[in-house]
Amino acid sequence: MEHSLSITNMWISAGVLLAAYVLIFTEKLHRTTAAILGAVSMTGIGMVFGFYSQEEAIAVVDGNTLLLLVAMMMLVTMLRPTGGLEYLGIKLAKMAGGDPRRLLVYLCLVTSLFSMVLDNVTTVLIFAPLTVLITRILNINPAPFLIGEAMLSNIGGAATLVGDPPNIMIGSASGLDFMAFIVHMGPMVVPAWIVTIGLLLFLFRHQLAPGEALGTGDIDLNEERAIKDYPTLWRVTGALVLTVALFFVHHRLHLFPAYVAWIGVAVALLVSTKDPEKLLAGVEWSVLLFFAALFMIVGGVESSGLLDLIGQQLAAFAADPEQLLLSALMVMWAAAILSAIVDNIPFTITMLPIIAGLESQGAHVTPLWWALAIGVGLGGNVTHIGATANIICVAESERAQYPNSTITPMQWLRVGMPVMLNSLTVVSIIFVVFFEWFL
Amino acid sequence: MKLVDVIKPTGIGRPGMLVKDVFRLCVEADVPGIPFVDERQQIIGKLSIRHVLKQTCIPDFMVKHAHLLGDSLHHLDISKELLASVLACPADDFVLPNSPQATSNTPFSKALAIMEEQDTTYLFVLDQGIYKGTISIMGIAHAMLEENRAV
Repeated sequence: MEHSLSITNMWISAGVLLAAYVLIFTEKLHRTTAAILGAVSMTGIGMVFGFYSQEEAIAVVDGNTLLLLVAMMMLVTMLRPTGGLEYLGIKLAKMAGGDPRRLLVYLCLVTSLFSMVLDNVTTVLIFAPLTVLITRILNINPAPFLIGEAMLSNIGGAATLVGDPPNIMIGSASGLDFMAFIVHMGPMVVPAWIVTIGLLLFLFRHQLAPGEALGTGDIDLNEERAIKDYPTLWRVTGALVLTVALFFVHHRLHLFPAYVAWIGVAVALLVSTKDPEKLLAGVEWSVLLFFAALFMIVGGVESSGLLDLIGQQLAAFAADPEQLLLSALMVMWAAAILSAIVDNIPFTITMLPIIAGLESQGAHVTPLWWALAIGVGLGGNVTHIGATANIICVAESERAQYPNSTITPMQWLRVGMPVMLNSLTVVSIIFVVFFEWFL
Repeated sequence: MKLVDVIKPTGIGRPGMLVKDVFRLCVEADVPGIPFVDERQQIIGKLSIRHVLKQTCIPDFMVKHAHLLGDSLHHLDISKELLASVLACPADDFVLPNSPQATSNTPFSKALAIMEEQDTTYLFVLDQGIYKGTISIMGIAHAMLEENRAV
């Protein structure tokens, strides 16, 4: 549909976007309600002023992103009640032999690994209460462990295409596949992980001193009882392994990541014979509607021509190969800083058409995608509200009933700021030194 | 079988009472909870032993993983200090706003349906706004046995 591009329309669309984002970030309304209000307003106003239509509003909702999220949520809903993750958590806690530092490393490692495939929120929802129980049994403060799990879950999620919603969106908008994410994000995420765990061990050295905890045999938990449904655990794990295996080759088979995830769901449903009605109840529809509404809001701004205009201004800068590295570093740090303060999803969705637009104007944008992905991934660690996983861990710390276990916003910031600055500095150095790898 | 036959008269929770006073009233009447009235003697909620214990003595992380817990976790048990502080708490802090109610004329089936709907095992009986007592699932079971014996 042809639209008249005018500065007035651009201002109007920017105004609606700004108003919606203010509503979302100030949390005056539930973020989904605010986003739906924004989407309805953008579409209605766009129709009146002739820069946006209902057809376009529907077309801009990224089905690949939403369907991939639904499928992964359904797989998680099937896996979660089996108790397999709790089993693993208890096993690792016992392997740590009562040493708080080893316990921190093991629990953070397992949350990171699961966050690479499952969503961070689910991983933390399972491991955070278990961590509180284990640390209370060992009579040590759970706060360092909860902070570590949230932060390393965020970092782990940044490593893969399916680990974090921003990555799913970036993958869908850029066409970058699962393997490309592993190969390019991995060399940034692994050093960031090591730096973060090292910093956590240093910053919490007093709370994690050996001898603070009770002895090895004191973890009186029966991991065998954790598994509530062995047949479903094995079957769903099999379906999940198949899904991940297909993710590795989806680009060779010319399959969308979302289609691969749905193959996994179909297999899991078939072998586990679970009631789909119950699985659908486990899907976070509010999150999905929030994302869909954001796509519609940003679609309106894009349709008004404003994002094109911004892209044209940036294109001259980004198209210069000499400036590309600087552009990528600016995107990375801006994404990290903004993600520390506000929800990283609206920022990511706004950046998608801008970066995609730069490509159409001749700029080589692949490094910008990687910079955006790692920036939003690491930025969420700075504040206690930077990521949903952080909020869950803070809430869990408040329920731990241990002296000084409650994580205050300032306590989080004192750890989150150095963690973000150090990990992002290391990632930036890697990005600069091996820049050709990211081209 | 009539509801009025299984009503147990109990004390009433009032503002300013301590948890130990409420527990004593519950234990004396052998009921799991009692109604709570405001200054105008209006029932505004209930005080439940289970709710008090859940809020004070059992952390969430233990409830979520109760099936995993071993029997040697004595340092996580309820200490004497905790026990004393809980009993000395103001009862007002634990008032649940929802207080399922019936009247003396309520049929047993309706009383049981309300219990199921509200996920509780007892109801307060009020006739024209005046509290008569509590009926519990145990009282109903007792009445059923008595009825069967009579048959």
